[in-house]
This record gives sequence, structure tokens and C-alpha cells, in this order.
Amino acid sequence: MTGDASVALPLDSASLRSGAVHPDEEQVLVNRCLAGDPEAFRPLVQRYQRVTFSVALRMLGSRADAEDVAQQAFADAYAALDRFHGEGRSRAFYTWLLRIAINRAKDVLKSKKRTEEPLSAEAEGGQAMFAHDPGSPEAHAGQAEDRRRLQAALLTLPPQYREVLVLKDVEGLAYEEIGPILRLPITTLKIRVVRARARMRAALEEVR
Amino acid sequence: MNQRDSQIPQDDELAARLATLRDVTPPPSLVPSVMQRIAEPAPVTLWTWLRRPRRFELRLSPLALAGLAVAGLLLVALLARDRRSGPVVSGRPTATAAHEAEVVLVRFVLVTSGAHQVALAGDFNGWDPGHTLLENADGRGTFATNLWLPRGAHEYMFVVDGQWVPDPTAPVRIPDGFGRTNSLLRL
Repeated sequence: MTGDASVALPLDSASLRSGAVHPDEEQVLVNRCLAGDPEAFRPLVQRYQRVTFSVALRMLGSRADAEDVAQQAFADAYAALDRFHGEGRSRAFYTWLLRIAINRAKDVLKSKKRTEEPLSAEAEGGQAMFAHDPGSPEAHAGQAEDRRRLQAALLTLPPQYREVLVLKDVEGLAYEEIGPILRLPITTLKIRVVRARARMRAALEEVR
Repeated sequence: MNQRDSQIPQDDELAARLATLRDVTPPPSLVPSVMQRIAEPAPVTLWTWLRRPRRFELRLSPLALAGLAVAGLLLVALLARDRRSGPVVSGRPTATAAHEAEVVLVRFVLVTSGAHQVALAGDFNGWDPGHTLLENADGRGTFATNLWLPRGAHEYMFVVDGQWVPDPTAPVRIPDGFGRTNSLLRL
């Protein structure tokens, strides 16, 4: 048994956001995949399924489309693993995967030329969650309504504003991480975030 | 208080509200679907077919072998003469052998009028568009820089005022797997 086989990955989002994940662990898994062990990809899918699905969902507004995009992004990443070079950088695989997912989501937006759509599947998920929580139903209903309005407003924004808000404000990425994902200089990115937030506030006024 | 300052609390509040959208549960079928998908053999595309290694056998008579060696030497001499013939005028990177074949000095040139800033991003600098800026060498849009690169294949793109563009004169371009193309340099 090699040392590679004993790699254990924390799967909680808190450790992801804190940057506590050691990049070498992921490079070991990538190397095992490249050596012909596809099961080594499973911990990476488990770790990043939430953020990949979330980004796709917020870009597209449909759970079905988001699942397709997330699947495709992971498959693309697996097929291109020989071109991934983490080089010890923190969260290198994470940002690389999100770049693929964002590009895939934008492909879907281009192909379907989507317009504003109600987020029916998301609303159903929210109601299911409340059914198991007996406390303060009014507060939960208010939060669900706010989330519905936020998503509806988000879907009215042009994709270049939507993507920066999803990465910056929804997922909480740093500008230094978003830059390589969207291939934008930091200064351009900051300006775009300011404009996107202004557009979002205006859109929220329109969405009821 | 200027307008930007007055927007900061609003921005913080909006960001906090948007962060509530992070609470998403992916469908339970996602992981098994992905694992099933990657376990299936990949379809053979023209690109994968071209990249697949093959074994072939070549039989040459000593006379033909000697002829090939002479032709090779002539070609090397011809290329060496061309390298000394003048300055670079195209965007194609040119290489100068050094350090006994370990690293190579490469000159990247892009001629583009009206651009304010041109950067070089590639696998050799982590695809960081802020890492390697080209100098407007003649003040008329001929942007250039020299880099020492290890031998091997390198993918790169120029970033012209924030826009990613492939090298228009790169001898090889390859898809990056995400719908775009990178320029390829072999040293």
C-alpha cells in the first residue's frame, strides 16, 4: 500500500472557505487519476459538488440545468486532468473547476438565450426544509421569499454581472481567486462588482 | 461622505443577503452520475486519435541513413543562418539556445496598434495576467518581452487590455478543453 492511498480529505465547507485544505492532497488525488485510478476522483467530486452545483444553479436558475452543468464540469475536469498544474497553490483545483463550471453555464445561457424564469424547483426545496422545522415559520417564510426575490433579480442581470456576484457575494471568493476564473484583472473585477451590485439593487426594486 | 462611501453599507447588506443563496443541497444523484460518467470510455475524437501514441517500424539501408544525416545537418545549418539574419518582425516567439539545452531564451512579440497594456499568461507563470507585462518596444505597438523557459511544450495567450487573445502567428493552437484555444510553443 502506498502513502497515496491513505489520503483523507475534509469535506466540510468551513475548511474549504478557510483555505485549510492542503493543495498537495489534491495533487496526489489528481496524480492517482492520471495513473488510471478513476476512484481517486470521487473525494474531489464529493468535496466540490456543493459549490459547483450552487454556482451553476445561481447562474441558470434551474436545478435540472445546474445538475447537467455540474456533471459536465466534473467530466471536463477529469478529461483535462493532465493539464491541471496546481503547483502547490492553495485552492488551485477549486478555482480551476469553477472556471470550467462558469464557462459551461455560460454556454448553456448562450444556447438557450434564457429569460427570466421562476425558480420553482428551488421554492419546493425550501418548503420541504420548513416542513421539518417547527420553529418560527414566519421567519423562515420571510427568508424563503427573500431568497426567491434575490434569485429572480439575479436572473435578470447580464451574465457578466451575474457571474461576479455569484462568485464574490454568494460564494464569498476573494478577488485574487475570481480573477483567474474569469480571466479579468483585479481592477476590472472590482469595478464590475460595484456595477453589478448597483444593477442588482435596481433589479430587486423591480422584482416583487 | 461621497457617493461611494454611502454605498458601502448597502453593498455589505446586499452581499450578506446574497450569501444566503449559498445554502444549497446538490442532488444525491450528482456524485454517482459523475463517477459513472468518468468510468465510461471516452469517445474517440479526432484530437484524441491524433494524440494517441503509436508504434511504427522504419527500416533504412546504411546509404539512406547517411543521406538523412547529411540532409539533417544541412537543415540545421540553414536554420542557424536564418536565426542570424535579422530582427523579429512577427509575433511568433523566437528561441535562443542557452544553458546547454536546459532552458531557452524566448522572445515573445505582439504587434497590435491602439493597445495600452499587453501581458503574457501561460503555464510557465500560472496563467497570471499580471505577472509578465510586455514592453511597448518601439512606442508604436510592438510589444515584446524575453523569458527564459525550460525545454518542453508551453501553452500561452496574450492579454491585450484585459482581453485574452491567442498569438496570431503561433504555429500551433490547441483547444483548452473549455471552448477556447491556447497557443502552443514547443522548445
